[in-house]
Amino acid sequence: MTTLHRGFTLVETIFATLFIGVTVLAIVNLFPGAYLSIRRSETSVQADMLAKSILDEWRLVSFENLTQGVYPLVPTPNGFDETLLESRTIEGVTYSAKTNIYDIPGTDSTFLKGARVTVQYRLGPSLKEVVHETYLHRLIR
Amino acid sequence: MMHRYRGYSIVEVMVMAAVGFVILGLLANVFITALQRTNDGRIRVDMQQQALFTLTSWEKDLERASQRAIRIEVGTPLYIGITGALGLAGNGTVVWDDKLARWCFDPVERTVSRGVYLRGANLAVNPTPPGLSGLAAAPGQNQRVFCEDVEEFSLKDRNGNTNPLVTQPLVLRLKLRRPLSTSQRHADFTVERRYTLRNSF
Repeated sequence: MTTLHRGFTLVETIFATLFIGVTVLAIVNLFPGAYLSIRRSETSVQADMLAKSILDEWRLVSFENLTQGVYPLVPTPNGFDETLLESRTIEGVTYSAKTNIYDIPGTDSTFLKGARVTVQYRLGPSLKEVVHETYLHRLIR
Repeated sequence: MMHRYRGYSIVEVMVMAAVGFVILGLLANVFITALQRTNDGRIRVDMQQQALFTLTSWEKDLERASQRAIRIEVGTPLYIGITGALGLAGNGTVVWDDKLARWCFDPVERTVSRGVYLRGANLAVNPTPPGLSGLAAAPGQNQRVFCEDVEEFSLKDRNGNTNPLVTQPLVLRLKLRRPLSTSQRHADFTVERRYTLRNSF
C-alpha cells in the first residue's frame, strides 16, 4: 500500500492568499458604513432639534389663534414668519417641516389641542422622518 | 509500504513570502485609512454626545427660569446666570431658588463649563454685573467643564438681544470644532435650539 501525502502547490497557496486578501478588503470596506451611521445620527439630532424648536414656537401662539390645519411655516406671536420657511439646510441636508394642529378626540377642543411637527429629510436614497407631538392647553388666569 | 511527505521547497517559500509581503504592503495603506476613519468616527460621536449633554443640561436649567431670572455678561469669558422661580409666596412675591447655575464660555480655552452657586439672601434674583464673573470664591461652587473645542456658545432672544432678553423664543446655539486625525481636517457640529420659557414670573 502506497500512501501519498501531498501538500498544497504554490499556485494553490497564492490563489488562497489572494482570496483572503480580497475578503479582508471587502471587510475593510465596511468601515464607511460606520461613518454613514454617525452621519445618520447627526442628521437625526438636527431634525430632532428643529422639531423641538418649532413646537416651542407654537407654544407662544395664543390658544385662540390655534386653528386646525397643516402649517408649513413657523408661527410667531403675530402671525407666521416668512423668513423661517418650512425647509432649511444644515450641513448639506435639507429638512422640511410641517405642523399639524388638530382636535384631540374625546376632549374639549376649546381647552386642549394637539400639535404634531413632522420633519422630513433625505439622507442618501432614503427619506427619513422625525415626529414630535405635544398638547397645547388654554391657560385661564 | 512507502510514505512520501513532501513540503515546500525553499524557493517556493521565498516566492510565497514575497507575494505575502506585497499583499501586506497593499493592505497596510487601506488599514491605516480604516483606522483613521474609525478614530475620526469616535471623535465625531464623542463631540456629538458632549454637545447634546451640554444642550440638555442647559435646557434643564432653563426649565424653571423666567426672563427675569437669566442674566448674561457678555465678555471674555462670557457668563450666563440662570435662577429658577419656585413659585409665589403668600404675599404674592416670587420665591426664587437659592441656587444659581452659572454657565461660562471661555473662548481662549474653548471650553464651556457650568457651576452651581448659592446666591445668598442679599441677592434678589441674579447678581448684578460683574457679579457673575466674581462668583469663583462663592460657597457651593462646583464648576465643571461640560464641553471642549467650543467655537460658539450663545443665548439670545428671537431678535438677537442678550441683556435683557426681551422676546421669545430664546435661541441657544452651540458650535463645536474638533481636529481630526489628519492635520488640516476638522469635524464641525452645530446645534441650535429655540426654547420658549415655561415660567413667566
